[in-house]
Amino acid sequence: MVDLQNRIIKLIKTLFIPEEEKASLTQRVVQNGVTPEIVVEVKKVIDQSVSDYEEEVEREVKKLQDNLNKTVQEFEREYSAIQADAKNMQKQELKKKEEQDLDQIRKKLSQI
Amino acid sequence: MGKPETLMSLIHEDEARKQHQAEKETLKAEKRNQNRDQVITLNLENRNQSRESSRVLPALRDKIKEVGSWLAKRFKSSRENPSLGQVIKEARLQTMEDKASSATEQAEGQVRTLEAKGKALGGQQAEITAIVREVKMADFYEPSEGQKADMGKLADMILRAGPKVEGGFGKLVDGLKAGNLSKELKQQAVAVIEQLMQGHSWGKENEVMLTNLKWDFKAGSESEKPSQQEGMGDVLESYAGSQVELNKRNGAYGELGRLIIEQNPLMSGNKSLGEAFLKGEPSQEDLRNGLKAIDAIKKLARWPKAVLAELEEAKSYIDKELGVPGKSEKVVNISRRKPRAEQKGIGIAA
Repeated sequence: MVDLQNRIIKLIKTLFIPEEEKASLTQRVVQNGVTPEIVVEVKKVIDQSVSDYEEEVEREVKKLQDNLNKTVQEFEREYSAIQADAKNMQKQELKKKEEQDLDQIRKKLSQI
Repeated sequence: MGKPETLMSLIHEDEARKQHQAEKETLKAEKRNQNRDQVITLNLENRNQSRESSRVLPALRDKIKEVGSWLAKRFKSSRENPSLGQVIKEARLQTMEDKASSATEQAEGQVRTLEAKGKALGGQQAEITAIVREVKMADFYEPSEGQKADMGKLADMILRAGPKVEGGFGKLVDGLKAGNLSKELKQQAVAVIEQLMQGHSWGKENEVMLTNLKWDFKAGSESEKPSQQEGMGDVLESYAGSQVELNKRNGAYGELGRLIIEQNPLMSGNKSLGEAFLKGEPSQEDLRNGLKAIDAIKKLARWPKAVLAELEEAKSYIDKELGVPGKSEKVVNISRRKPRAEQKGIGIAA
């Protein structure tokens, strides 16, 4: 019995409820022992937490998926832009370099 | 003698011819000289030209070589060193990767938090289930939705059976419909279920449901409501023990019933016998036939240890119910027998 009481008190400590509610439940267990009502109440709290948790997981997963999709889309957009910019820049650089090279070649040839 | 004029003319002619010849020769010589000069000049020019070419070409070759090497150097350098565009591209990609990585890390963190909470809740559920199992009392045990539905069905059956069910069962029907029965009503429900099953065939599914309810109510009605101040733990523990025992018995009988139906170990009546064990309510005759079936099943094949243990457990319950003295405890212990090494260790210690 004492073991059961300790177990339920230990369990109450882990519940996802405000500290005051935990304290109240613990006090009732200490005063009245492991009553059917307290067991049912703790079970209800856990069931509610599980239900809330399932909803929370659903919400969070959706949020994370949305965020991830956004990031991926942003990345893809940015990547395309980077590719396009880099291509243009390379073209310009190449053109400039070609011109420089030609100038240099002309200069060198004119020295002959 | 010839004519002097003729001679003279001949001389003149000869002189003229000689002169002409000389002139001709002179012209020839002049022309030859001229040609020779020309050849010399041309030769000289050619010689000068080739002398000039031989001086310029190597220089040109050097220049071309120089330009070529310079170009090669430039191209090599452009291959080795990324272009500015490439550098900017890499930097921007790195920024994006950092951003994606940070978003991923953040998401992973959130998932880890959720997982930890899920794990904690799983632990809480397991613990409260264990506690509820231990304190599962008739008076406060809240039936599951499925059990409530079955209780509702039972209420309808009672109403349908009407006159066949003895006594007034208004309170029981109300309790069943509300999904809440007191200890007394549970005892009443057990009796009613037995009557219902004897008087009418309800179909396999309903009969299984009735059997399950009967055992639930039987287990519930056997317990006593504990005083909140005293002795609750003992009652709970005793209740938990009987519930566990009942579940074990039904499990072993269920397995035996399944094997009897599947293996047909007896000459006849396998199906009804198997169903009786599946329902968890074999008659005295079923129990005796069950023992025969167990022996026959054992001989049918080389069974895995787990199946043999189930059969032995079922046998032990049958022995217990048939009142075979001294057998049940021994047989029950077979499934809980300690590993050989452990036994040996105990033996040595003893």
